[in-house]
Amino acid sequence: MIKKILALIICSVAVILPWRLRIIYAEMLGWAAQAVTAAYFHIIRFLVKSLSSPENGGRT
Amino acid sequence: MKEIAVLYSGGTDSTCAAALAAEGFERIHLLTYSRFGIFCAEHTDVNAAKLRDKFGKDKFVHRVINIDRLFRETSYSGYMPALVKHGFFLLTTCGLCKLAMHIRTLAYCLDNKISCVCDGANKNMDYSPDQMREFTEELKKLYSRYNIEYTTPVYEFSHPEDIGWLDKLGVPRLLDIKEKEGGADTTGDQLFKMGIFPRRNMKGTKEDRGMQARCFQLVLSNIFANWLYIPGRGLEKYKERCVGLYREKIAYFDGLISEYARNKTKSKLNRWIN
Repeated sequence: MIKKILALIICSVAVILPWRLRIIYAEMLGWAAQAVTAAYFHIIRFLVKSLSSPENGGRT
Repeated sequence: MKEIAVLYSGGTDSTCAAALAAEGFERIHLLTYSRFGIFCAEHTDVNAAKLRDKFGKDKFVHRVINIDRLFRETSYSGYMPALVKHGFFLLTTCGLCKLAMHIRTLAYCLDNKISCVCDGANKNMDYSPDQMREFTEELKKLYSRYNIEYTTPVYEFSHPEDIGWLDKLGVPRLLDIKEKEGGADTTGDQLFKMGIFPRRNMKGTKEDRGMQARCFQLVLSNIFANWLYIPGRGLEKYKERCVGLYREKIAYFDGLISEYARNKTKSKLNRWIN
């Protein structure tokens, strides 16, 4: 439900924007999505590395 | 001389389409499109150079063409009535952008007397409006009205295995998955077999990102489709509504192209593309 409301807000804003602004808006959303994904991978990679280090009894 | 125009993004699929075309045509026009919001169009030179190395440098003509005005028209012509009728389907940017590319390709073919066109459309991406079979069928009809044959040579190729998130994290796999041998199922396999790519699967890698133009605007289209429309009404209904919109757009541009074909210098389309 939250996803739907969020999508409705994002799309309602996009649909009233002129073309260059819509492209900038979509780019910003794209970069935000990339930033979330990158942060997720960096955190998980750090955790996996730490867990697999010899001090934690993991394999190198 | 047998010539063909290829809508060329520099990625695996369109490079494969161009490589397959190179076997049957004497000259291949690689048409890369740029506009506000498409970045790094110069990356497309990477695979264009590989194609030249493989098939000969005189065989390919690579052009980067701006479609700013045309994209604006495909997205915003008759906007308010279209908004009432199609709603958020007007946010399916990839399809509208691809339509602008095809209109420009058609004009290019008319100018250069080219009677064959192909691109890298693939069935595995058919949730995206620009790769839907119904959309490509409508385009085929449009091209055929100007005696141009439009084909999608890599449409039936399989999709490569995704690079899993564990691989991206650098976690070693418990079971080694060896690269398969033999036939060409995917476009990457085909290019590997032809000696153009060093590996079978380049999709999603850093190298892959470095050889094609970049554009993030599919995010709007995806948010609408995957968060709002498809969960409630299903993929089939989504496709049906998309095709309805594109059919109308194609009919509108068909009129403009016939005007261009009749009297190029005075046509509206000529002003938009030059």
